[in-house]
Amino acid sequence: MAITFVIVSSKDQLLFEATFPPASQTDETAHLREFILFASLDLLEPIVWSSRDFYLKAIDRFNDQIIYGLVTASSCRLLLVSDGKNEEAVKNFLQDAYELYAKLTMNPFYDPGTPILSTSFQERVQKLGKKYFG
Amino acid sequence: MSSSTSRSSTWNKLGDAAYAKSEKVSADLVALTYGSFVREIIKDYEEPDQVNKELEKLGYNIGIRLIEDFLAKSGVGNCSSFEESAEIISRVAFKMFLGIRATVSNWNNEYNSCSIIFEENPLAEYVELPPEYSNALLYSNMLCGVIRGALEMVQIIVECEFVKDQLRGDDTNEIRIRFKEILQEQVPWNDEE
Repeated sequence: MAITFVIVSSKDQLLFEATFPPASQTDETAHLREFILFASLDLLEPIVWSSRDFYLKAIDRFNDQIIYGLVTASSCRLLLVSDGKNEEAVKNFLQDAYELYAKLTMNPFYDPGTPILSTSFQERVQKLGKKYFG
Repeated sequence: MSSSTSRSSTWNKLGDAAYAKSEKVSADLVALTYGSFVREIIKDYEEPDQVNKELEKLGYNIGIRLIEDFLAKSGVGNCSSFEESAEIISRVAFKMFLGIRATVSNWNNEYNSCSIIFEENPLAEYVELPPEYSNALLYSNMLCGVIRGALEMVQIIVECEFVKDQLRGDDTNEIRIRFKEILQEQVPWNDEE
């Protein structure tokens, strides 16, 4: 099954979504993955307080799907759902994606907390996905 | 030719020395400050052409002050030709104030117009233009104003414009400088007041 990655703002707004491999029309599980990602948001808070790192490892599971999370200092959430066979890659991916996000927020034309429309950011995330899960 | 290369290396050394001596500020601070500045101007003027003009004006006001600082600290002497001025701007001034070295090229036949080319633009670090501005806005247009203002204070009138900008997808940054005239000594315009 495909891997889905989302960025959710501190005010629970969806900023960015990517699927690896890139989403196709026939992908019927996309909605399910989105649903379980958002459901896991509720579990995040206690985990954030109990962890010293931004990367929170596995935060939730749904059948054979595992949800991984990374919460930035400004409590922006980077979540990823996968089948759990590539934990190390997920960790590295989220950390690299966090770096990309940090760079994006330095762009004077991007307002933090608004949906990410930058095509170059999309491309870079896709490239990262290919590197770690391709 | 050999004398011109030796002069270039002297200028490079002057630039390095001036850069080493000058106080440094964080490049991120400059990039972010300039970025929010541009955002503000866009909010005020909306039209990209008008924004470009404002940025140029802003740069001009910086340039007419900066030239004094530059001549005092860099140790360059009088320039004997426009060619020399252009070289000094790119090798000494760019290095001193922006920490990068630019190159001068694309001289026209009359030797009164040239390009200053630089790969790295510290002002535009992190910047990505949104599609609605990517054709019209000259993000770093302030630099043109700085050059024009600075040269005007040493009696050289030029026109400057950005012809290539990496933010617009060009392979490099290029500022075209056109020499207009040398100002003759004259009574200051507000002498009577």
